[in-house]
Amino acid sequence: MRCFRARWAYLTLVAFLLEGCVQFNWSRVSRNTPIGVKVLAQLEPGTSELTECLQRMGAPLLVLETDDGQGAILLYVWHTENNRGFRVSLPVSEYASADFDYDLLHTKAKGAMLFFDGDWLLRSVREGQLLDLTNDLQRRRPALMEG
Amino acid sequence: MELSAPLLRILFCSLLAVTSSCALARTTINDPLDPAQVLKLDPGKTTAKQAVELLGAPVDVVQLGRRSAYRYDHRATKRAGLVMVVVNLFNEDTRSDRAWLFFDEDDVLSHVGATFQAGDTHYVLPWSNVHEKPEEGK
Repeated sequence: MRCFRARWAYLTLVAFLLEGCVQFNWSRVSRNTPIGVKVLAQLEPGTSELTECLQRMGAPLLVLETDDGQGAILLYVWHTENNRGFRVSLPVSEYASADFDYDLLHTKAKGAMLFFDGDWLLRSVREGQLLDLTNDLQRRRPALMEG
Repeated sequence: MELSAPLLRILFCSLLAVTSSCALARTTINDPLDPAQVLKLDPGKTTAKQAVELLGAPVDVVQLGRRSAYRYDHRATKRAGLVMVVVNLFNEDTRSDRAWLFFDEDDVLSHVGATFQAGDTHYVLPWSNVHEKPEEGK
């Protein structure tokens, strides 16, 4: 019993002494509600219209103009991250596990893109990592339309 | 001097209480959207002018050829953190109310898409998954 108490006291003391340089971190970050696979599977390119897609998926995070200027791209984005890490910060130690890095948020987010033509008919659906989806995507500058 | 077990426990809990801390924070962007106001929009009838009178100025306007889309949004973030000596727990939950209004070339509303989730944000610790099941429809 005495040995047990001594061990606890020792562990407590060690914990307080190491407070500044040893840390266990558990963080969870979530942004927007993920779109279910079943919802995406219900959309049929060539058949589904914008109204149906908006009803099933809700409002997108972003709407962009397609390259031909006729249709639209709807972008849905969500992100969930669950990090558990042990961090040691002694001058000669190595960084065992990184804290959550906010700068990497956009690279880890997932998303879905819906492409609509000029008649608001769904042409294609893409899903995956946001960085891959938006790699070649740029918002066009507003232009004067004549006529 | 030898410390008794209860005294040791009290000492441990007191130290833990003194040296631990918790934090709650909430961030919001823009005013919440009113679902009742969004429901008043009538595709095929409501004009862009009427929509703006009803909902106010949009956050963003996107040109879609001769057509346009207006974005309204409100974002809420709740953060909860707990620091206990060498253990740090943190959770952040962000959701938003969003509405996209699509107008045709005559500035008449053609489509509306709305999502209202900002009110569902939670203060929780990381072992709680706020999105236990992905949404399967609206």
